[in-house]
Amino acid sequence: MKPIIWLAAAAAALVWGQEKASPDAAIKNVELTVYLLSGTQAAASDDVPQDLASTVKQLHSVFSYKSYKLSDSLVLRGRPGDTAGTSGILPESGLHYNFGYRRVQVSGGKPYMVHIDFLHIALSSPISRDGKVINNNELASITTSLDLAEGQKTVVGKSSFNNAGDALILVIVPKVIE
Amino acid sequence: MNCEVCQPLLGSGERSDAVEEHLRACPECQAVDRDLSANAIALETLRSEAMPALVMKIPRRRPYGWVAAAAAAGLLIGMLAPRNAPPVRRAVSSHLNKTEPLRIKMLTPDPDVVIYWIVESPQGE
Amino acid sequence: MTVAELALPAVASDSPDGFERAVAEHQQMVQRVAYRLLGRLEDAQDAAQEVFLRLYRNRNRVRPDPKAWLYRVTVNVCRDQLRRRRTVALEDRSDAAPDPERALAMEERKRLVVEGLATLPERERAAVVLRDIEGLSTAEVAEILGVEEVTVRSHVSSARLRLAKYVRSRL
Repeated sequence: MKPIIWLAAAAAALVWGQEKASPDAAIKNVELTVYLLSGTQAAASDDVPQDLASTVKQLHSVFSYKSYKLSDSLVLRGRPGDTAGTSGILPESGLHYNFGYRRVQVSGGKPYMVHIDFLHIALSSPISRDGKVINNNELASITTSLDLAEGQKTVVGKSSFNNAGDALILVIVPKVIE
Repeated sequence: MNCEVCQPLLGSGERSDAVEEHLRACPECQAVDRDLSANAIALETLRSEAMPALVMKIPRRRPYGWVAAAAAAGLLIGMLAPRNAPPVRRAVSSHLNKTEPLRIKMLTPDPDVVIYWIVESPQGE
Repeated sequence: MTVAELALPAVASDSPDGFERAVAEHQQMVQRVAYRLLGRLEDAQDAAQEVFLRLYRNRNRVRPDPKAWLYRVTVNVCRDQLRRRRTVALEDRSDAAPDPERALAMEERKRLVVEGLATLPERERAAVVLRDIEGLSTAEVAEILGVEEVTVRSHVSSARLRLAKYVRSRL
């Protein structure tokens, strides 16, 4: 009996050790809520949801853009270690976007840290012929790796993504789903 | 009063009785007065013209590299604005890989908001 | 790669070293003044870089509101640049050819006024830029330029008249 008990104990210890070393195992998904904003010199009032009011307040205090506007929002869910992406069309401008990342990992305890490798967004303008889209002209893109705290709003942006000199801004809010 | 005396006074914005009296009788000075007024409006509108983004160059061989980097990053933050000018021609940093975009992380007074700003290095510099 | 991590001061901060805030507040003004004094955007950006580098080096000696100091240094930096260059350049405005058929609209007048600025003597240009574009008082302009108020009034008057003549002659 002793060898069986020893093996069972060893197996249990092994499983327990693996779970402790890999918190991802307990985590089903990482959900990113992403808001696509533009910062512009147009003297207008901000057009963003109430959730982003405090974020936009900080943007006003740092940058000299006169107003911020929400272009679109998306939710992307993926499993730790996996690649995920999505695409869409911005309602007002008709620009196409591709958003995604190569890999997402989670560490720590609640609130978790979410590590995103090669987060990428690209905005493009479709080129059509005879009513069919034959190509896309990339206007702007952002590629970066990030460490985000769960529940925190992380802003990623760059200036002058179009002829008007507007800023392309993402506000990313990660959530870990267990 | 003659035009030689009146026009410098008009230029200074002085409208004494003597100036007004001369203006009433002098079409040439009236024309100058109209141009001065219109030009004043034109000059004032130049005040609200937006300037393009300004990207600072980190000076080479600073003794305190991290101070220079922080200063340049701070200047960059302060200068980011929409632009309508030709592409930026100056790299932000002379000691980083010139093809790699720079990323500046800003911790705001709101603990729930963190900003990362991406600056692309110009091609070929 | 992250260049730097910065802790931004609170919006209502009175920190004496609010350098980043000063830059955010005044970079438009510095560039604008430099642009009107030098006539070329690239030169204005060079000048603005120099101005803010000087501000950074002197940040502990400059008052919390550095606006007057920035005006003065901007004028001085531009003056140095002009002395090296000798002439005021004008941006290529070939896409804004004058239209003599049209009545002189404000945009056309603005274009001619900007052109005329480049033809002014340096001291008159500085005085009229600070007084009529930046909207500073005669006393403030005198302090920035380091001259008497009567000198400012004289320069401004002369500049305005030259501009009026320049615009009128191109009607």
